[in-house]
Amino acid sequence: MLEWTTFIGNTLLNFAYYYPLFMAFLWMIGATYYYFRWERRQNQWDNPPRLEHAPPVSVIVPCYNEAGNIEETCGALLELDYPDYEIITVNDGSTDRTGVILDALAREHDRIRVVHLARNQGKAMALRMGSMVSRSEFLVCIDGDALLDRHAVTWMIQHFVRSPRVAAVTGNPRIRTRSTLLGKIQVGEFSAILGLIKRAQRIYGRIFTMSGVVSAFRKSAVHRVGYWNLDMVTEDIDISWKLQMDYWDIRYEPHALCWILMPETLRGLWKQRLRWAQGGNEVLLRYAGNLRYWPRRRMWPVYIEYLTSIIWGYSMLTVILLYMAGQMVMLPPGFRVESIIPTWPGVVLGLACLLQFAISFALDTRYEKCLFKYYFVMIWYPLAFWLINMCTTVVALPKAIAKKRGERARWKTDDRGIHPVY
Amino acid sequence: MPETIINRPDLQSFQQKYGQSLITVLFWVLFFFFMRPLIGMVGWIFGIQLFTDIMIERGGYHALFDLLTWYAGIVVLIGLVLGSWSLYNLYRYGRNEKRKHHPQPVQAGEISAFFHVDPNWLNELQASKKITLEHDAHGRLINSGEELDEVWPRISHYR
Repeated sequence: MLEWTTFIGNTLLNFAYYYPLFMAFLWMIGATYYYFRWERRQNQWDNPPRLEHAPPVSVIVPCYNEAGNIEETCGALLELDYPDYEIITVNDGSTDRTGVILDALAREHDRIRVVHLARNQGKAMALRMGSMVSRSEFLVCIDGDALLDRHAVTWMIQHFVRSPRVAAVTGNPRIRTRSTLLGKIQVGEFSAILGLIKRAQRIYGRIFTMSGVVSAFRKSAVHRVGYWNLDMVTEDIDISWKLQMDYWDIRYEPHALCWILMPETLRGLWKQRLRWAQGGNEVLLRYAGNLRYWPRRRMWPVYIEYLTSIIWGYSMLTVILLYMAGQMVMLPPGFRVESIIPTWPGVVLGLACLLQFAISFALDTRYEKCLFKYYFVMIWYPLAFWLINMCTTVVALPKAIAKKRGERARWKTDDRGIHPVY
Repeated sequence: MPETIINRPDLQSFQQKYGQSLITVLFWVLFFFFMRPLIGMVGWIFGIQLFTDIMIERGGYHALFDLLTWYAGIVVLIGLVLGSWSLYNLYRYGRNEKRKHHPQPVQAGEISAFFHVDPNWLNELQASKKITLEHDAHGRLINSGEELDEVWPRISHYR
């Protein structure tokens, strides 16, 4: 009995410490491999490849209460360096002046069209309606508060032109809101965590999710899989899985820059991350049964990666609870956690954080100079990332399990960071 | 004129300014707490006796070398597994492309069938500058086929 409890206790503790460490190395190796295999040989982001034939593109912008941002967003879209595109703004039942502003913009600019949804229907429905009324085979979807770089469309469309198996391309979101520490930390997070993961997942062959804030689609592929589901909290994770389960490719294009607003309060960040975690869990639960077929084996690595992170979240929580319980009552020897602060594994974990940021910033200096000035602010962030991951996982999984299938998902961003009014 | 990067620390709230700084300090403390053995080793190298208990009682640098050997081995293994999987995919799918031709663009008839709307009305929608759509509680369009706002011009060209 004692041997078993000791074995379980040790396994739990080792898994809690070593999983983040080895995942960090997996992402670093994958991202570096991706860089040398593809990224390094490409042009700079402001010098996109020339397309022999530039197919028409519909840019879809779902908006819900974006009165403060939508003019800026449309202004950036009107400056796109692409020969043939229309802008479809979808006002998803906004209660502020978004509709009035969009009508005025549409009157002023030939490229801009407006779809008003009489009542708020959620982002997935707004995307569906935008696709339905679009006139192009290729769709670029961005959020109503994002600024798309003028070269981004060319960078994304080249993938569709060159490969018939590409159904979607996800761009490179860059943080605009950098007034607070939380904002600055997210600059590094998007490089060191999300950027590395996406690059590494391209080496696995499949990605867990596109960035909903900037992605491009082949409409025939999206139509084939039944468009965006209306009942998933994160429509971007869901559509990524639907397309890849239908054997389409999704590409990550780091040169397709899109400047985004992010929360700069802890409350806003928590709500956003909880939604992401719940969305990931919903997708995991929904598609688990479809993965047992051998032809879907390319999805296994991303599924296992996410599933393991959920198991890790609960393992870490168990370790912390055992440590706290051990301070109050006598536990069996195998379950006693002497300290939750590791000794040498902690050193290696800390140094791995330094290395992870150094590599990711080095890869991302192609897109943004002076990233290393954020190094000091955030080298501890990967530690915090894993803690946030633990908390959101523990809270989100029961929510995802309890959610009824078919229940409509509607969401709104209530914190977009410090955003001065001009 | 709005700028792409918004860096206005002067607009931070009290909580953002001081609360987030406090969290940062706490995490730096945690970071250095993780570094205790390393700091202990450096202290030991420079002869500071206070730190020697960490190095001697907890296995000292021998433990570090053992650990690093294990880590290096596992990291190499991870790299090999990832590289092999990537090469397998390249071999399996790189030259065995089933989608060899670009798919036909989705046709208006297919779209109208999916969304249960009248094909003529869909054509009108696709040519309109301003559209208002209404859905029922289940997300079905309920004004499919209604006249569009004639005040707004149809799209002639947007190129």
